[in-house]
Amino acid sequence: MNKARAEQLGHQERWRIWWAGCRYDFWLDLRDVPGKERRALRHELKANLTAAAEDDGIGQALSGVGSLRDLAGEYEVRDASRVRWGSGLACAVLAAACGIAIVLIAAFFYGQGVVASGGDASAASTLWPFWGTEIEVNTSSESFTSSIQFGPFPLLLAVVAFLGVARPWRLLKRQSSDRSMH
Amino acid sequence: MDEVLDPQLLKGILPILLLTVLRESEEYGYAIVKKLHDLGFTSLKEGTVYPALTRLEAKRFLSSRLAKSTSGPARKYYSLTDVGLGELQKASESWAMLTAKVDHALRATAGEESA
Repeated sequence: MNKARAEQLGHQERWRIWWAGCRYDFWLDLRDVPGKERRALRHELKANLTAAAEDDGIGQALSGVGSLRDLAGEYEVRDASRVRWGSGLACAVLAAACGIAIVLIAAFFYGQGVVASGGDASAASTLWPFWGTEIEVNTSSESFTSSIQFGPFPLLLAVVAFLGVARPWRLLKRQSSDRSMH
Repeated sequence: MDEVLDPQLLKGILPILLLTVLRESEEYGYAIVKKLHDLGFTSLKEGTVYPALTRLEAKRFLSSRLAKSTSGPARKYYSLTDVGLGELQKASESWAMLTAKVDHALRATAGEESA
C-alpha cells in the first residue's frame, strides 16, 4: 500500500468512491441480487477502489472498473421473488422531483404568457395535462405574484415509478408460494 | 505484451491465470489485478477480474476472508482451495495439450505451404 498516497485521499475522492458504491448497489438491486450479497459486493468494490485510488488516482480507479451497470450484470446470484424496495424508492423520489420540475417549467411559461398580454392581468387555470394542478397569476405594472397548487401529478408519477421498479406484488407471490410449501 | 491477444481469448484463460496467481499467496482483488499487469496482461481490467473471482469462489475453487485495512473498508482476500488446486492442475494439463496441438497444426500447415 502506498501510505503517502493513502494519506492524500481527499474528501472528493472518498465521496466519489461512496457514490460509485451507491450506483453499483442500485444496479445490483435492479438485477435482483439479494441484500446480503449486495452489501458484500459493494464493500468489496469500495475497498478495491480505495486501494486503486491510492496508487493511480480516483479517475484511473473508476476507469479500470468500467461501467458499474455492466459489472452488476456479471453477477449470477438472483432472487426474482424479492421486492426492490431501495431502487423503487429512489426512482419514486426522482420521478416526483421530475414531476415538480415539469409543472414549475409549465407554470413559468404560463406566467410569461400572462405578462406578455400586457397591462394589469389576472389569470387562473388548471394546467393541462398536469391533472389537478392549478395556477393563479396576478400581474400589474408594480408587482407580479403567482401561486401553484401542485395536485396529485407528481405523486402519481412517484407511485407509477415505485410500482414499476419495486414490483411489490412479488411479495404476494412469495407469500403464496411459502404457504403452498407448508 | 498482451496487446495482440484477442479479448475473448484473454477472458477464456483468465480463470487459470487467477488460480495461478493465488497459488503463491492469498490476495485481494486490486492486488491480483496488479500482479496480472506485472505478468504482462495489462489489458485485463478490474471490471473483468472482479466478477471472475466471484465466479471462482462460487465454484469453491477459491475461499475468502475479510481483513481490516488502515486506509478504507475491509479487504476481501482470496486464497486457493484444494478443489481449486486440483482444477488448476487439470487446466494446466489441458492448456499444455491445447498449445501443443495448435503448434503442431501451425507447423504442419506451414510445412505444406513451403512444399
